[in-house]
Amino acid sequence: MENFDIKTDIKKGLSSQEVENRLRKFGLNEIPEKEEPLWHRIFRRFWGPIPWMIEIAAVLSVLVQKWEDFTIITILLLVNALVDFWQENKALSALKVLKQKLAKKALVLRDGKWQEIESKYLVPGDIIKLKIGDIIPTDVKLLEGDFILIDQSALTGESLPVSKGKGDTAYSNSIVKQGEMIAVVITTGMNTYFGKTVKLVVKAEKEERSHFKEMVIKIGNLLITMALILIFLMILVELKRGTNWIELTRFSLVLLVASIPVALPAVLTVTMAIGAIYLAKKQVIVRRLASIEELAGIDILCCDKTGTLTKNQMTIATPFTIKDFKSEDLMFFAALTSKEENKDPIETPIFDWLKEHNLYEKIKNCIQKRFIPFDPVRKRTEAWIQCGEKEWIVTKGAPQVILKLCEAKEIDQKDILKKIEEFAENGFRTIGVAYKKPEEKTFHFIGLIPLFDPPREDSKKAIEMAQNYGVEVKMVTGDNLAIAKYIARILGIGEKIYSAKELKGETYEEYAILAKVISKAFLKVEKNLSEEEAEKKAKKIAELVEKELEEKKLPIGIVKQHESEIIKIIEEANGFAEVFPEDKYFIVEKLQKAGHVVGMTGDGVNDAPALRKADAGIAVSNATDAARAAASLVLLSPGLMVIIKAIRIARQIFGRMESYTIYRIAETIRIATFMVLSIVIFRFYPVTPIMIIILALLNDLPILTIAYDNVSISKKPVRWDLYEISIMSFWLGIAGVISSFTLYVLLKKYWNLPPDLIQSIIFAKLAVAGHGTIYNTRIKNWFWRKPWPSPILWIATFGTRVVGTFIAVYGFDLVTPIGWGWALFVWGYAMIWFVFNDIVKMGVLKMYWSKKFLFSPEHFTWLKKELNKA
Amino acid sequence: MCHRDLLFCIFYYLGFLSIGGVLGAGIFIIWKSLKNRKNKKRPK
Repeated sequence: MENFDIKTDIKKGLSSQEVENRLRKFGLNEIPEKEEPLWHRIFRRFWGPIPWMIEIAAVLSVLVQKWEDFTIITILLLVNALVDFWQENKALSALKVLKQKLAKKALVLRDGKWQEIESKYLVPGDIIKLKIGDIIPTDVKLLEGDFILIDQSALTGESLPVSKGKGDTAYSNSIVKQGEMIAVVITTGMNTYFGKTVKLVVKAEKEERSHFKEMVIKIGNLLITMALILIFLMILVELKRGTNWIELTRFSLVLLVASIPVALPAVLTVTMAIGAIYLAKKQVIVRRLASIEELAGIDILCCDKTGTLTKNQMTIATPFTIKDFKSEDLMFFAALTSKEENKDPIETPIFDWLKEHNLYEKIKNCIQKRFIPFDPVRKRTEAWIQCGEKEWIVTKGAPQVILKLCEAKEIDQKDILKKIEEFAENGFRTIGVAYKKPEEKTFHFIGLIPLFDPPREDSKKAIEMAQNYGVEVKMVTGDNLAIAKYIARILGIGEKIYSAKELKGETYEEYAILAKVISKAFLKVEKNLSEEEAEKKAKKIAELVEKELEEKKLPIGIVKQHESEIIKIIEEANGFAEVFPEDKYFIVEKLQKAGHVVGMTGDGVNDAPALRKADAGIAVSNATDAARAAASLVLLSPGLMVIIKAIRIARQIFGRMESYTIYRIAETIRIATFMVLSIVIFRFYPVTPIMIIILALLNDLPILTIAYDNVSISKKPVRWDLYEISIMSFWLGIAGVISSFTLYVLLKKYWNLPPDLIQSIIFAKLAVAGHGTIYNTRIKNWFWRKPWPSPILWIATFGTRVVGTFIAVYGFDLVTPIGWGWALFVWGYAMIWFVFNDIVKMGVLKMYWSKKFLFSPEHFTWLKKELNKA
Repeated sequence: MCHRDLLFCIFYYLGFLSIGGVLGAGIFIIWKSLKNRKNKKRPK
């Protein structure tokens, strides 16, 4: 059949040859991202406040004809640029890999076969199938099917979904909320409606500012302000002393460059990018790098039951049969009134049971002459069966419905109803099975098949692990209360499982109690019933009232709980049953109001708002495109364990970022404070500009390896605590300043060494001791405790220390040579102070954790507030 | 050999200890990590 002006065949789709032709003609179905040219990315490194400072310092070195300084400053500029470029490259390629893993797929008809391909290979004329939860991959015209409900709010801002039918156009990037239709692709790539408006979207994304970025900016500002104040003080004093202004400017600029954490944002981003790649290997795709930080901080994980905690695979428990029948008969008849090819989740386990018990062959001797499938009104299936010469009509379905069809005299209804109730209380879904001969009017009851979705093998362990890591798992399920309670009990989640209705105040419990009290009083007075009889009947009336109310929508405000009461219920609950997707949003919102960092799993299109609202929205494996787009993390394999593992990894990544941040702030305090105070107090330049630059260069190498370090996993959810970071950095910084001044006093006053030798020894000390600080900050325990550093970190730090030592020992015309005697002295001195720094660290940590001394809650509350505002 | 006063010599010999300690720790870390990697690769 020819269609529109785009030649295609609706029954067969395009041929492979035609697809190739059209791909050549129209290009890929993707919005080409504006990639920054390589030359621009390289030259960008030499443009900006930090490069300007280094460039001015280089020019000033030329002016005073210090050619060695000029060479080293130029090397610093180039190395900084190279390191920055390399880091960015690494982050970009990591993001590219993640993006590829999340490539959108489309179900397309080509060469007469439906196949799943990456959406970017769609061409105009392709026939595609759209179903609930899909993000429409390109602009299409709807061809077949009743209708679909489309959410195109991302494009048009319309808040309500729009219904579209045959002949209508559906736009790329809108979401199918309901229905299924066949459509033909009309335009692709930049020619789509979305393609034309993409610039606006890019702008909106750029403006997004994450919590992580805010924190980096805050730390950066803190260090820059600190360095600027100190350097300004030094300039004032030195100008008064009449120091040459060119020399002073050169020194100040170099010192500023060494103090400012130029690499901090890049190091933190790369640490997260490398972590994201590692997470991808563990089947977790990070859609936004910053969400790693949020994942590390979640303290409540709201987790779907089906598929995450359970196997999403119905299994048969011990069946119940009435006398004269065995389990084999029950399953045999149940299979006769099922269709295996339908792969119905309720019917498949029946066939599996028969296969397991070697009874599968038995049903092959029978023919289904007629089959009436299950429908929500009749609530049962029915089949006319012929096995040899025997003929039966067999039915299976909701047990109460089946019971009503059966001969009442043959069975003990009470006994069966009790059994049904018992199964329901234990969370089983039950099917009743009955049969009759064609000439009979009523059915003969056979028995009940209890089905349940068993927990995954690793769920219990994963929940225990989550609890050990300070993450509370709350189960969220659309299933009924009994099932939810049963699974929660098995998995050790807890007993407090509430219906989502209770959260919104839509509970009927009060009415049921009221109905029971009134009816009991009425029955006693009017009918003169005994206490016991009245109680029994009143209970029945209360049940009927509750059932009646369930189908009615209560007017808003009848039972209204205060928000704080609702939050308390949600906080205390171990899980929620009868949850609709919109309830998930409600739960997340209330928990966030109580100050929790919330993780929420979801898969459906209606879960998208909750996933977006959650601090860490997690789309489980096989989630719809819409849920994936809304989530910050996408799981590629099922189960809770993968989430818990991801939390562990996220905390490790966070630990690396935190240790680097503490190290960098402490180093800034050490270098800037020591230099400036030494100049101001002793009128002595402890190191030359060239030494500062070499130190900065040596510093660049090990920071690249921090992303690979082994760090301990916090047992509690982690968040940026700038107060703790600042306190720790401050004390480590001060310890460093004391050690440098002590060394200076020893060299100058005790041993009376010449100034150039003192400068070289101090340079050696800063090079050797500086990287020791990484080992102090990388672990919140004594430095020798596990986890030990990664080999690559050790190689990098040891390498730079050795290079620093060789430069100091032999001079290489850059510094005054100190010889091996002083070099060994410096290593010994650095070791003693390294141990001292570790004692300082442990002291600060212990006091901070026990909130003693300066760290008690009432101290520095203004500072804490200021630092943790971000 | 140490050619200055006692204070210098203490740090001087500590320097040997420090370099030895850092090197020893590094070699141990690398050996341990290689061993772990080997164990991970070994089929169960």
